[in-house]
Amino acid sequence: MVHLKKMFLKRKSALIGLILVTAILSAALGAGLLTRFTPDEMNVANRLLAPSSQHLMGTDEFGRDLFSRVLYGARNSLIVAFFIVVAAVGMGLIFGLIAGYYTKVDSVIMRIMDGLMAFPGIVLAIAMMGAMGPSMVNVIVALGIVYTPRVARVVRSFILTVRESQYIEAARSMGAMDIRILFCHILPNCFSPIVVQASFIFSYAILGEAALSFLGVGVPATLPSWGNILSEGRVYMQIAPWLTLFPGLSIMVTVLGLNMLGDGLRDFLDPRLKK
Amino acid sequence: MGAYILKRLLQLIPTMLIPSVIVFMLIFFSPGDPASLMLGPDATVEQIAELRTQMGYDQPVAVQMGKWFSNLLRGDLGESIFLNQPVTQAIGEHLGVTMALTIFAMVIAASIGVTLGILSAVNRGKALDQAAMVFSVFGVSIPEFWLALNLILVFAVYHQIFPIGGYVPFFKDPAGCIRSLFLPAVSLGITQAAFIARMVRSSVLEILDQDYVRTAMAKGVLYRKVVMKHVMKNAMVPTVTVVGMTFSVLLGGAIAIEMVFNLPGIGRLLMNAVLRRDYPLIQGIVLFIAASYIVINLLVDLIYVYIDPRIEY
Repeated sequence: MVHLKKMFLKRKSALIGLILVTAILSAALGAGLLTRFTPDEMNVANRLLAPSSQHLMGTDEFGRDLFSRVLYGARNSLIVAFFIVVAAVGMGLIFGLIAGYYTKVDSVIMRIMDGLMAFPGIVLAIAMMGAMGPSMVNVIVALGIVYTPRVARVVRSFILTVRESQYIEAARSMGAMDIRILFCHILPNCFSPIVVQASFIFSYAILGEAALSFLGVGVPATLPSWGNILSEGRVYMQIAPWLTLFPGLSIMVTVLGLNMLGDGLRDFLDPRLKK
Repeated sequence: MGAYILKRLLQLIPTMLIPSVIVFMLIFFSPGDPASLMLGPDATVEQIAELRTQMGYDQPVAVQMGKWFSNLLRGDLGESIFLNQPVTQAIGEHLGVTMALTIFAMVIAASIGVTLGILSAVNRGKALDQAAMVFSVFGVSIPEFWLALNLILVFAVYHQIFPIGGYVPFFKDPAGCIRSLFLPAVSLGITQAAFIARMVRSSVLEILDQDYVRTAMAKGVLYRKVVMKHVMKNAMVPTVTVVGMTFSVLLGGAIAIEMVFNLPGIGRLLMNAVLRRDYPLIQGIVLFIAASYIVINLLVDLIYVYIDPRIEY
């Protein structure tokens, strides 16, 4: 903890990243306290109003307050991104552990992972969404599958380097079962690369969800998400540019914060990659 | 070299196998009967049954898969339900736009990214390096479709320098074609330029730390000459790798950009297929994109052999 604190003090960009991410998370969680409007509250008399003290980010074509939509949209986007990370890390961890530890199934699992990586992520996600239909859960499933190979490869490569280590040999000779070796001896040691990967996957997930929702195959339009708000705002952007400006800025600032934080964590946890 | 190319071409077969299986399996992600989903709620039971038979969905999975692979080997990706034409033909009609966009974006990304990466590395710690890294950090964080919307607003709506959307074929009007693709290619290329700059900087910095660079400097060779002759040559392999990697991202990013700029490429074709649940077309396009990516990787591997004689084949 002390080391982590030192890292943030030493690396200004990581600190800025942490501040940005914390600010966005707090704004999303405290949306109800920060705005007096609900995201779906329509007021046609107030349609397409420019940003003002009354409506900080202006209003949309239905007179809905954009600030509250962006805040509540942040909640949905961050929730989806969080579960994408959980899904990708969970599946990647299981596949990576099995592939790295059991040589017999290694090539089968890794060929499947390579096969998944042969697609540009967003293309595979669009195709899966096309088959499954738009929903929040389907976005998590599709993007979770897309990002799984990244984690699996990192975990596997780590296990390959420690599999024959003396402490693993010792545990094995003491009669420890494979499951114990995997979860009690190997897994805690690959915590660092997983944390770094997770921070980057979080930022990819935010961009991925935004792209899917922007294209109309992500989070259903009835729920505000940054991608949805951007997609709706696009129609009116010539007369009301704030409709695309603010949701886009929110995505950019969040991804920027996560990338800066991820870079900092990577340099801290694996100094060999610094440069 | 010929034997190496043949060997690599043969390796493409197993490499393509898994993506083909994944694409085939896409149909099983659909909630319910794919035939009724494709025809919509107004379809009669007879129509659904007919389509099911026509597409082979009423047969066992193993039979369907066998048929899928035998068709693939003959270059047959099936028939689009809504376009009523072979999938390969539909892809062929839309491919030119996507290729033009991707290549244009690639040129922008590579020229800006490589230049910035090298300049940044040789000026490590200086203002130029810091500015380049700020560009890089911001660049990789911007969603390309949002950048596209902003570029449209500034350069097409407010200043009317470029068209808002649409595509002009190159052979009809070369200048018009470049104008129509400029904003889409910039939107797509800038974010990748940021990524390339970052990776190239990192590779060049690594090479600058090598003993042979220090030796050349100690011998009194001019810094510029050391960079151009020793560093650049050795930075080529990682640079080509990164530029090759961006191709896949550009192909993926082209989908949203084609939708924003209303370009009739395979990205828009895919989105239309998704919205109509035209499964054969979705499968065909996705497999085509995966195959393109795999072929590009092969080309990158072949380029390595030319630029680095230490790589054996």
